[in-house]
Amino acid sequence: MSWSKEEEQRLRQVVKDSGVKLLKENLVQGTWGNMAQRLDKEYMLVTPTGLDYEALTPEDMPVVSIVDPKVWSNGKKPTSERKIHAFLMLNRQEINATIHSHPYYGSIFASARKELPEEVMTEEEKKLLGGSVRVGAYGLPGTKKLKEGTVKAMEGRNACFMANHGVFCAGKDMEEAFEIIRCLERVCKRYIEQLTVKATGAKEYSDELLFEYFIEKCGK
Amino acid sequence: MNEKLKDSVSMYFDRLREYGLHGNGDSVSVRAEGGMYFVDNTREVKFIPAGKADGEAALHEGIYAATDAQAVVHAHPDYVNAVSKAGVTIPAVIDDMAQIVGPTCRTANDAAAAAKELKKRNSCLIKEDGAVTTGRTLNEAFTCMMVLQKAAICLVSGSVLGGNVVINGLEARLMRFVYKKKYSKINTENNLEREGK
Repeated sequence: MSWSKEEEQRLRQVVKDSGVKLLKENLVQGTWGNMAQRLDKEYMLVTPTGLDYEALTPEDMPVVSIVDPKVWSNGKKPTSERKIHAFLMLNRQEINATIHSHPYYGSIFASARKELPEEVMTEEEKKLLGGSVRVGAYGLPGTKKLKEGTVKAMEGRNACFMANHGVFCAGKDMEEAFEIIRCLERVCKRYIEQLTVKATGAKEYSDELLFEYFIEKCGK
Repeated sequence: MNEKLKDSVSMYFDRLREYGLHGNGDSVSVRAEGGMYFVDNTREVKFIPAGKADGEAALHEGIYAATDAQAVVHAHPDYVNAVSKAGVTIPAVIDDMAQIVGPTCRTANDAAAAAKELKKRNSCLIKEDGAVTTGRTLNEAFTCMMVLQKAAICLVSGSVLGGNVVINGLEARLMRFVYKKKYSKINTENNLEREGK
């Protein structure tokens, strides 16, 4: 253990506050999502399984081994997705905070299993996301298949979609991880709007335009 | 009078607006001894004794009579409305829909058909009248509406991306089973206490 009690307490609060922030910024629904914060080379704090972010206390976050994520202590039972967080922290030393969530616009691409091309990003967005946002192979929550798919899609990237599941983002700290997930939502939204305008031939986007297109194309 | 339960109904009604899930004709209720606490756009929480409901409250009463639901949310989020207008079924395009909402959410033609539909499910769309979700707690019914709106966003917006990939029916049912029996258990217990049950 190479960190102080005070530092651990501060980072526990960072994770707690970040969970609430995800909810407040509408970047997750219910208990669906989890996050991790590196403590040192070998250990990280993660959110526990099955508890909503409002009810969580800083003390609830378990300390999980990055090398062997089956090993944990000092908190409630960790999220079943901890292996994904651990693998990325083990293999990418520049990553200190990770967020897995299910925000609205990222979920559209995850459910359509479509990559977000880098051509639709500004230079700044491209730098933040690390390039095109790929889709990891489909797997049930908590499975090896989901872990492997996500890890592969994250190669050389700071964000990816998880097929029919959600998104995964990684940053040098929690603040940057948040910046990445916000950026991803913004670009996904803008691209959907561009595609709607293209599909309908309209001059500008409106939600009503998308609804009319959907009703005409898919309605009974 | 259970003041905590009454406040909880009011809080979840306000949350519909906070989370952008509101529209015309929204209402929220919770089952209580001898009736239900009910709130609609008047924002006044009323205790309605069993058998005395009319108008919008009658939809809730019909659902409580037909099911073991403890809370009901009737809301009109924009994307849910678009799907209810299209009159189609929302399939499990995203796994938290499979878990929290169920493998599919179908469109019922009216309130009576909705109550029947909710006997076996905890959500349904009403043709051109938004959606109804139910739960063991107000939090669960509200979360179900939130996830339903997300599934509707995926379905509607996915149409310009070339369509969605639907989760296999067997896997969707398995996820639903695990969520109901295991994953949601701690939250349900916590929320029952928090909401005043």
